[in-house]
Amino acid sequence: MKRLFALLISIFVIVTCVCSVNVFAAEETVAVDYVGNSESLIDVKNPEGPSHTTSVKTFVISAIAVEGATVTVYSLNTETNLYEKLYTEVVDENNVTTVVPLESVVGASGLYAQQINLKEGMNNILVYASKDGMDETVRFDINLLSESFLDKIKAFTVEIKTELGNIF
Amino acid sequence: MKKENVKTYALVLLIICSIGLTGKIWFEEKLWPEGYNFFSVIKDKFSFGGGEFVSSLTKETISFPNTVIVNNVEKRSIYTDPGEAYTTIATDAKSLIRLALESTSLTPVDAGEWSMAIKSRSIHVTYPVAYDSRLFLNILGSYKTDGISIPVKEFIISSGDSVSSNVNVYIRNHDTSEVLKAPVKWDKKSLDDLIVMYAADSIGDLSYSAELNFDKTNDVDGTNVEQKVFIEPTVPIQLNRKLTNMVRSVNPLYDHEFDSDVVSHILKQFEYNTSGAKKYTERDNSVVYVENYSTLKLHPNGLVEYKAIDRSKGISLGSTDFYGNLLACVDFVNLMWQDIFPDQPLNINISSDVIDAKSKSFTLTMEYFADGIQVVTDIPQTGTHGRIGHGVEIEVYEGRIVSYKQHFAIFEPAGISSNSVSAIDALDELLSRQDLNDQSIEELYPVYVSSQAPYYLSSWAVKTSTGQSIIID
Amino acid sequence: MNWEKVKTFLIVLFFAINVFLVGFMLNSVKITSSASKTVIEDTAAILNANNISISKEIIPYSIANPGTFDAVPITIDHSYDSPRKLADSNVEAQIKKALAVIDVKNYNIHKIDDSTYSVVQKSGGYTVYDGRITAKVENNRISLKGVWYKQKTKPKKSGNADGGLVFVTGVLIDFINNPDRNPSVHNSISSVEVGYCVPQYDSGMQHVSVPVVACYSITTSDGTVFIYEASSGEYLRNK
Repeated sequence: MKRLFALLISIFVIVTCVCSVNVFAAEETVAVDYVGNSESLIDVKNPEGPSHTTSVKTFVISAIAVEGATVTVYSLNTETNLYEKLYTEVVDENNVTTVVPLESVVGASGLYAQQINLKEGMNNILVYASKDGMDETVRFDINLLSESFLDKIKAFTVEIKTELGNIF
Repeated sequence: MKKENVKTYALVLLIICSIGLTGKIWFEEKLWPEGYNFFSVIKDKFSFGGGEFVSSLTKETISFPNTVIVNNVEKRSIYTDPGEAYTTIATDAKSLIRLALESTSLTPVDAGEWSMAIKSRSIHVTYPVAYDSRLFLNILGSYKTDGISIPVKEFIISSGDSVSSNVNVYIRNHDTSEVLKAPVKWDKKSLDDLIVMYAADSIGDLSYSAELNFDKTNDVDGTNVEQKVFIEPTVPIQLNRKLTNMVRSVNPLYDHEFDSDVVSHILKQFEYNTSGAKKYTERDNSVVYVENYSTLKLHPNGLVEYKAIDRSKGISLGSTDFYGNLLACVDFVNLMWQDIFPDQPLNINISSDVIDAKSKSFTLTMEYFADGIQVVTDIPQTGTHGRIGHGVEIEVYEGRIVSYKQHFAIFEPAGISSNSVSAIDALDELLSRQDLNDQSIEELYPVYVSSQAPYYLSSWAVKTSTGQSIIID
Repeated sequence: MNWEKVKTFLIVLFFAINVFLVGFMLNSVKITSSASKTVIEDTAAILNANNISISKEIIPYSIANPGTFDAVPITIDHSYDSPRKLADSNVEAQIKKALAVIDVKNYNIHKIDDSTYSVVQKSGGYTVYDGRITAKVENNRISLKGVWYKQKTKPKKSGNADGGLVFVTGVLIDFINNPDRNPSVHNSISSVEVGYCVPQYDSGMQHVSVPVVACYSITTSDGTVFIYEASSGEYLRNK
């Protein structure tokens, strides 16, 4: 009886810890094919579709989520083939810099917005939402055009304009 | 010798008598009416310099916008009065808006073009209140009287495409949200240079609702989460916490007793005889003056209330048209402040829509600003006055001021900074307290709200699609 | 330097300054309004023509402005038990003692009837028409009830912007059309005086301080007193 009771207590503690981890902090990595067990926690508003191309280094992810959901942003590390949690530096009013994960709890409005810095080329992003043991993932790709590519486009545009100017 | 001594004593006695009589006359105020201060009059007559009086709202500045947001694709900055950058941008913006409203080539465009304009190279101009566009042209200095008549408050000046030499100005109807576009002849390069120069911050700090798609539901199938709040497309949303200064209010009217100098100036401004006005003192130390078929109440909390008992006997504004009366009201507020506090700038702006441009009777409200941020005036009802919800409230009837309320306060930095919450945090707080019941958010702006008196903390306010204003504190 | 001559000069100078200052003080409060004999006579004639009998002798031709002062209104409700048996010969003296107990000074006492006396407030020689205490005598007890205005400030120059008052002749002409005047009763003026009154202002709260202003009283032969504010000529009320 005593052993059974101890076992039950241990299981309870372990489950609580696991759940706590899930409630208060998402994992550092998410498997590339992990989907989640819910489809009603979060809707990503920006970007509107699974692919997006931009020439701007910063991008703001926006979403609508259920109140109390924890939303975390991950980026795919192609070498490890795992989505890794993104971090940012925050400077407080005392000029102290802290590195914090891109993770926050959605409030009563249900609105979520998070700015991320893109690297040149393809950025495979995963937005992970979790609440009360349920979780959901949304994936999208953002292609940040390189400076050299942009310069070529601009040069091409200038050439066309000049040619048109010569013709007319 | 004796005769000399007598003369000396007589002279000393006469000198003492002169001093005594002079002192008696001065300090028993027999020379001047109550509240008159001989020394302040001398100071006024002989003061040279001391700085020019500055007001944020004058006949000249009434045409300046509340905010200008300069957009350059990945860069964006917001500017408010005061500031050199603000003045430079706003001056050009005003001229462009005037040309647009004078244009005969206004064409309606869809809302999508309005949203696209803010994402490109543009200047987004917002006024504190909606104006009738015909009156607004007048305010901008145009003589055109037959332009369109719609309520306007928000404009977008876009440098447009690289083919046309025209600049596009978008005008939004504040009531119907319909958008008109006017091509305007302008030096496009100078506009582009202006935008490049003044769009300095990352768009990540300040995003438009349209960029975040908070203005609509997704068209994509599989929308599973209910969107509780919709925000109009061109509402800028501050995403991060921001370091803001606390401000403190100073009551210039009353400090254990009324400042007699200030009271005297106020009486004169309302055409009261400083010696003849009948004065009543109430239990809460508020004072009521009665004269000229009107009452003037001064409260210890800094509130001044004027009311004409006979509406035909209020203070004449000296104009026969709406715009003239509006400017006269602005002048009245400025002159009173300048008279009482010549060294203290007055930062106020109009907060009531100016739509009905034909009426000689209207109510005009104004709010104080500190550091470019509106200060919310909210004085609860007491036994001697009702609730006061504006810095200044003027009721005009047939060209006369028949009611005037002003909460006299001087706002200064408190020397304490703190991180204000982000706009989304503020909306979370709002939605945790109340449902918006299908109202969308038309405006979302920072305000100063009274914390523990006399301190004011930075907070947020929203205006909904039904015109409801809600302070989130 | 001849100090003697300097001293003489200074004595004369300061003497002149003092004379000026004294004269200024005496005049600064009491500004006098006056009217010509013709105006007085014409006013009397107009009133008589409108069936209001008045003798021109009772119309003052020169009026000093008594000024305005602030006062604290005090509600009086006090009983005084006289140590002596009250009789006609000593009632007024006992009323005075009762008034002294509650620190009321400067007044006139008028007998209304055997058991009722009226105590009218005075200030600077002028009647304060709203300062009135009714003294009722019953057995050996004197009951005092009324309102008194305790002066807070000294009288200061008041009236219109020039410091003067509307002249009494204008007020007398206005009396012809006074809304409270009953032509068959109030058709004979027995006196015209300058005094003080307290203009009513109802804020819903009890006032801590009120203005006591110059006023004209027109008393008709039946004893009714019509009060006009002297700075504006506005009719206030009758008593």
